[in-house]
Amino acid sequence: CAPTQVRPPSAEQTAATARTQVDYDGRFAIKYNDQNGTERNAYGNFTWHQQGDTINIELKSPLGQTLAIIESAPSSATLQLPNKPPQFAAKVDDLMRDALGFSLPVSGLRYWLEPAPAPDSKATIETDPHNGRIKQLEQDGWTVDYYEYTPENNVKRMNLSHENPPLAIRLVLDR
Amino acid sequence: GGIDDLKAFVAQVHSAKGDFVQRQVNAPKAPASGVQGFRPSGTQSGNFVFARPGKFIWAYTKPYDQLLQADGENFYVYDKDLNQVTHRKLGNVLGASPAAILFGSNDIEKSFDLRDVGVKDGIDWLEMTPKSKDTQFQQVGIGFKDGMLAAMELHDVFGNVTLLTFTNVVKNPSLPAGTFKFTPPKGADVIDG
Repeated sequence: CAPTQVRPPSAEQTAATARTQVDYDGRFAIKYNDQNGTERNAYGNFTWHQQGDTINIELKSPLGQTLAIIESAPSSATLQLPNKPPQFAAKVDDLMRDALGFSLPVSGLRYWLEPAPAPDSKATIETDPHNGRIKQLEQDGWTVDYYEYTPENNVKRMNLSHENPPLAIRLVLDR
Repeated sequence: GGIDDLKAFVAQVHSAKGDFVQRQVNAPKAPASGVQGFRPSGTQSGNFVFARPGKFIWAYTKPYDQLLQADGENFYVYDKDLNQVTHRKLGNVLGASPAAILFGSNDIEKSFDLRDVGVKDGIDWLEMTPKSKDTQFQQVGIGFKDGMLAAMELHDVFGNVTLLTFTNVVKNPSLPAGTFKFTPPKGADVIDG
């Protein structure tokens, strides 16, 4: 099926998305290159809590201990690590990259998890003709592949990949 | 009290197996903006088997399959949905974690201060505070019932409290050779994490 060009959603749609409270639980695996170019991997459980324009992501060990809390608000970002003072920055990407060695595309993810394209930039979308579900989405240098949906059309399994800097993320959503 | 039970457990129980249920009873409040905290994640359950020192299988089976396994030297985490095995040297993965209490070598008082805190709902509890300040754990509680491991409470530095309850625990079961040998499932990516 031919990828279709998508007009960014209307203002109302974006406002509606911003007001909602969204929670996800899941697991992630990330392959990235650290500052001196060595390939690294991170794996763990995560909790995503979104309220209005503020997104909180908690990275956790399987036994439930918090490894990091990342907060991304419209004009500020905070990151907390165990036994360390909180770190602040304007943008969450820089904060995460400095502290964790990798950064998640948080602003894009909030929409890609719906699933939907982010409103403020062009996206190329491929939908499955049989059920209308998004199969693949390309936006902001990311390729997002949706592998599995729940019967209620929620995203279950998705991969995200970025060329430069190289970054590959696998996500599974439990809730 | 709890401390005597723990010492007896550590001294007499060289291996054990059983089932566990894991519940998060307290989620941390989110930082800066005071946004209402994280919703506690749901309940997980599974089974475990361990043999001291440093050999264990901790398998989550519900609501998803996630396997943590150590063969005494290597530590593996297999995630079925992500079809991936993360491998690391065991080294100090256990460190001052609760796993060290159950599965590690038994010089617990080297890394923890112990305190009896009495009986609650028929379970005799003790509190363990890590001596080193740089661990994820603020405190670990262990509960025994009639001398048998019954529960653990993991308090992390962010205020998370994870409650583990154990059932069907069998002490020193006969374990076939190779019980802890890990073979990556066919087709899974094996990654050095």
